[in-house]
Amino acid sequence: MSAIVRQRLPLLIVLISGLIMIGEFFFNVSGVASVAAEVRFLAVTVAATAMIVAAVSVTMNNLRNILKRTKGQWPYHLWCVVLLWFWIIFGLYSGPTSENYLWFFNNILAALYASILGILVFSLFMGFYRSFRIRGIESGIMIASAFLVMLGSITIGDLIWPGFAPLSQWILAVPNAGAYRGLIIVMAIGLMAVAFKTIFGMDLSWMGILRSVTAGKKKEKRP
Amino acid sequence: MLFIELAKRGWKFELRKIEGVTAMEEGVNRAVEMGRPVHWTEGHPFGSKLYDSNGPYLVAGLAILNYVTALCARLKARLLVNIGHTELFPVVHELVRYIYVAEGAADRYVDDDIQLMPEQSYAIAVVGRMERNSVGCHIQTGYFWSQDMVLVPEVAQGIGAIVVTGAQIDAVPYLIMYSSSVFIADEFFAAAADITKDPTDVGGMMGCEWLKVVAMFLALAGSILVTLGNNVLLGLTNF
Repeated sequence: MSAIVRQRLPLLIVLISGLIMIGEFFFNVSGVASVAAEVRFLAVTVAATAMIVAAVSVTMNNLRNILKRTKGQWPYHLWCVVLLWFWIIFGLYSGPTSENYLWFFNNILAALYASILGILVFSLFMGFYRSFRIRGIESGIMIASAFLVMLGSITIGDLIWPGFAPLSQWILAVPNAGAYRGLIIVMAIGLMAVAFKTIFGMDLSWMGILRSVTAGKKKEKRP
Repeated sequence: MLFIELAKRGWKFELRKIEGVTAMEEGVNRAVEMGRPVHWTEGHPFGSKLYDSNGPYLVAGLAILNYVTALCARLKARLLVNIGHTELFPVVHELVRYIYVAEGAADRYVDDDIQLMPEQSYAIAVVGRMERNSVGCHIQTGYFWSQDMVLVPEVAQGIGAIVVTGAQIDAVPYLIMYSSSVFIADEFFAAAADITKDPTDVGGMMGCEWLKVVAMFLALAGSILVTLGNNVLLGLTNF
């Protein structure tokens, strides 16, 4: 593939799409909004096309493992391929909003997903247990404020001292919100910089362009 | 743009060393010493798409993947990549393959090592693959949501991997609990500048630093003016 098609064309598409989106958001120019809507629709369509690539790739990856009879794993790969194509064919045949499809979806996938979310509670407890140790002044302040916020949120806290709830609210509304907004502003500036560099072709890392790849290599000193 | 132009013209800007980048290098080196693979992932597509407002997080994550891939190719570490976004899948395939070729390690590129994980069961699928391969270093940079910012790094830490993470600000408190090192706030975007030392990246980050100063000044001035009963700056936000 020539360098023009491989590098210049994607950059041109990104530049034009980015300028249309900026134009829609910041300037009230007639006609831009409808073009921007079309671009958004195109983006969704391209992403949906990638779904086909993904389905084929997942099938191929799993088939390779099935054919190789990867020890202890190939039955799971087989099961994955069977389920993948069952859902695709079933969805195409009955439609993703049909009663039968939704029954399967809600009673299998949604239930399994809810179970996974249930596991997160235990992971959170583990994380809290490891993190909530006083190692210095900063972690001490964090734990003290977390303890106060927790006491303000639970009913027994109110029984111990009625002042916990207002104190908890103050911690959340003043120091916490202030620091959080500061971080959000900083993140927004960073996001703007990345978007700007991407739109104007200054950051090419998303295309795997070599500028970043050569990083970290120590320059050889000439004798 | 001004700072990028100045950096290109040879102005020297000093950026502080980002701890996450050092941690990534240490993590990959440790994985090589232990003979275990390195793992990278960018989250599942529930909260982000490459073409929505959270897209820059994924793009910044790809910049880090770029570096991790180059490190792995150079140090002969096996790199496992799990993708949650279908639209990123072909991009990442091309990117990783391209870097392996550029590093002269095309023979070590394995197509199967890059896999797409389904949306609903993303975290469980990723966790399963990490455990089966006993990864030595786990790097996750992108946009993360519930299960992927809690379960995935927790399991990675459980199997003894060095965990380096970077994500949107909502995820950072959780990631701090489970990670050896975290890119906090704009460090995530500054990582590329620290890695490449490229004038475009360094100049861009310097511009961001000055924008931060302006934002701080405006916040301070706005607070004082509003306290004194003057809403001039507040009115500017409603243009």
